[in-house]
Amino acid sequence: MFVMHFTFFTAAMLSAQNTSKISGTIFSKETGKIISQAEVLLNPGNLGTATDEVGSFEFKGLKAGNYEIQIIHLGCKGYNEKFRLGQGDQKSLQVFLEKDIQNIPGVEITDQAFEWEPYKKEVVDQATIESLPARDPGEFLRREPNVAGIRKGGGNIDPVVRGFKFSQLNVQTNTGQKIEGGCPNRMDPAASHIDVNDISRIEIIKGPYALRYGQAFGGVINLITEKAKPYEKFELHANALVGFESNWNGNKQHVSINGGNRTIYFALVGNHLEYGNYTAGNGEIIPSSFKKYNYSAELGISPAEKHNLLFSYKNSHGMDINFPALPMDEREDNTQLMSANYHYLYSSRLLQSIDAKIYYSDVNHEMDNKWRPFSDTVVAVSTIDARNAGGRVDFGLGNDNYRLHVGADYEDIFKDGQRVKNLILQPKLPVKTENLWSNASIQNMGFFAEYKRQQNQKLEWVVSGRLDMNKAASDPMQLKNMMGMDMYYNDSTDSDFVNFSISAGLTYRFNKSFSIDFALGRGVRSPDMTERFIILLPVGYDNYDYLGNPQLMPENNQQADLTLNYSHDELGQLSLNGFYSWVTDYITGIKVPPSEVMPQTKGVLGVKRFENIDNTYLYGFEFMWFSPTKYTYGASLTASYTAGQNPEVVKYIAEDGQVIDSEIVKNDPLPEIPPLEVNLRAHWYFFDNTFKPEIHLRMVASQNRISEAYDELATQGFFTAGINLSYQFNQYLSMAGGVSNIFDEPYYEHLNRRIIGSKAPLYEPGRIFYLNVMVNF
Amino acid sequence: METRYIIITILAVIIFSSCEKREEKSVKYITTNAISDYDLSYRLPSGELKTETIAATSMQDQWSFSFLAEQGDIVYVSGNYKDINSALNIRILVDGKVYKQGSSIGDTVRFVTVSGVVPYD
Repeated sequence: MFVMHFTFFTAAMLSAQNTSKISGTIFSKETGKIISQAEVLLNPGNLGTATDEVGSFEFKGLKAGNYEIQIIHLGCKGYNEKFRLGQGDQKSLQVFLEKDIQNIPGVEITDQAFEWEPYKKEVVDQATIESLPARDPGEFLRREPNVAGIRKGGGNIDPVVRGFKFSQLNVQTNTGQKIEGGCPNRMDPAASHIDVNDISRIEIIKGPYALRYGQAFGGVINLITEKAKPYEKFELHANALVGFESNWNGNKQHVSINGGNRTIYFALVGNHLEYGNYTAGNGEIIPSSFKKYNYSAELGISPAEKHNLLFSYKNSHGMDINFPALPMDEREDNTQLMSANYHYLYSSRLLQSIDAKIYYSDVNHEMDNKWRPFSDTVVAVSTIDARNAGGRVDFGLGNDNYRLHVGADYEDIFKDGQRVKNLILQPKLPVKTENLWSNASIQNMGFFAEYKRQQNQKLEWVVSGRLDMNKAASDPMQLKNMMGMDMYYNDSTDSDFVNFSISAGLTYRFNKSFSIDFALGRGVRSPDMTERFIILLPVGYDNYDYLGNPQLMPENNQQADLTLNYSHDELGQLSLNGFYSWVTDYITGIKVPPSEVMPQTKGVLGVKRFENIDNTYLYGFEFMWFSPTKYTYGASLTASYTAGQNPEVVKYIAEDGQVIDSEIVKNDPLPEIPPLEVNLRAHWYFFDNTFKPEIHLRMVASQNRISEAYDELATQGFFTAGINLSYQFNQYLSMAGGVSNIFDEPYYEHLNRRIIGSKAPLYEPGRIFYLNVMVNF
Repeated sequence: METRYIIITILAVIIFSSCEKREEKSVKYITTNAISDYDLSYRLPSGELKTETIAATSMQDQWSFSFLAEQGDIVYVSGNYKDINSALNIRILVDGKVYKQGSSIGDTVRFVTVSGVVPYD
């Protein structure tokens, strides 16, 4: 509450009203394509923003006066212009940036030397995140076409991209830092350890093509947080966000302070989120409350021109996070993330850039069943320590026509955890301890190379390759009964793989309006910690205890993407993509006979062990249309669809909680694939572009393509609507508010897990009124 | 300019005071109704289980043990007597209110076990 009062107080002090505006669109001079994520700085005021997905930017609520605008984009010459704005002036710019890697301010580790990529890449920017009721990155990612999420509680939604999920996706932060979640049931996927309010942008690269960023199988999600940045002379700045949501009485606060000079600079950031239980559209109260808080510090040093060092430390905590779809709730999460980054950029030499990073991520996860009825008999507490230490180095060589990246990355994952069962109704309080992981480790050393070439004004192409040496080991996988006798024992836990991934793509421009992108790739991923070493826990979609298999083979994804792009001054931008993926050595669960191992979880049907099967297929499309940006109104329309198929799978037939038979199912749909979805957004600008209402209509089809083998249930289609209103008071203060799920529709996503022990759906929140207030100075 | 520095200092204080702590509650184990010695096991705040023989001569004799516990901590008391004429009542109080209780009369075989976790509300 103090932060809220403080914010309003500050805003009141700074609320000098004015209505001038500058906006513009950035293009590549060579290709004519728009440039998204170009950095745009405006002084005085030290205002900064990045161009959006259609290359546009704007600063609103400016006072009359002299200004200087600076536009920077890696791989392009900088652009500067001085001008005067009168009271009420609206200046519009069209800027064409020339290719030429010069310099970048600060330590932006993500390197996009060439704007084009022949595969699908979505970018979510900070302004969008700030204007909506974002709670965690996974939830926010669901806005993007063909990106869904698995909900098990109020937060920590696990992203799914084109049907690929879990370790089929390479989720990382700040281009290279990996996080190993602690929970075997993925209460805390990697994305959940990054506070959504710290994110400056999210990049989603679909397919097995971006091989520079680690093992790429189904896609790469890169969560880039706000960075400390240098200033010409010493400056100090701060920004704050205070947000409130009705329904589950959610409130969040974000405070960031940054400053420094050209040599030394810093950032201090803190976040706090507290949400209660939400009410679904049908009035059902969902136990979904959670609390999170975190703080981080960054120190940047520029010892010499073109050389930057950045040290980063983050400490984050979660408490009492409800998961009604899981057998336990997260009691505590204590996570530390640290990294040291080095960045060098010198455009006029053969060696144009060096990016180096070392990092350490440590997740301490504790979960229990203390909020569940069964805790009257047995109190079960699981504690897991999950660590990931590693680094990467990336050398960028090239000239105006080509760019070659070569480098290496390494990660060392360690995981150890136990479940302690206290039998609290029995004399002498017996305690049973079970291993979830036993000092399990995976080391992966990767070498990569990527070559991009602009052949001529029409053709650009890229080829990349990656070699991974993957090694895993664990103490014996062992489960004992109360008498100390082995119920399961496996000491054959070592494995060693060499994986080769390759991808290639091209962009061909028929004219200034029409182009095609084509990409082909083979991504290989080694099995993860759960697939290799988990010891009898119900971690899958179905009702079985799962057993890790150290002898699993890597999974391979052979994929092709074809994208047609059309751009027109009056019609806007159109993009239509189709993809086809052929997954071999697909990893799935196969039932193990009870004579080999008995299940340990009450109510499950048996034990499944992770195994490789022949192959599966995924295919689908994405359609996107963005209206021209030159009008004071605009709209976008997206549609996406994915289907997955398993040519042959075993279905186990259960009766009265026992498996009694099995049968082969042909062409069974893959489970947990989201249905067809269409999104329509429309917005207008009023009052000299300071006020922007936007409506969002979302239509999701029913999902009847369900897996018979996994006893998946169909879901009904639904329609939701939302309104967002954003208002820029002045250069210091802005607000965004609105209503989501206006009609209080009771609905649930197909990927929402069911309430534990039942087939009851986990509904999404009903109507929510929200308000975010942002202060920057 | 000075106002800006003051504001930034206040923001910095907010950042580093945003941590959360779990609430502590007072817990009290109470046993009564026994007329002769009985064996009692109870969980200590450290998590260890302590077992001792409690001396009793009349139903009014009361044994108690108090401590502070965090929400979610396991509380556990289990007792058993060998005198067929005896009885045992066990109560666990959280913040002065009875959280759980159990008793037996003349049952020398069955243990009276009262347990749970300190509530979160």
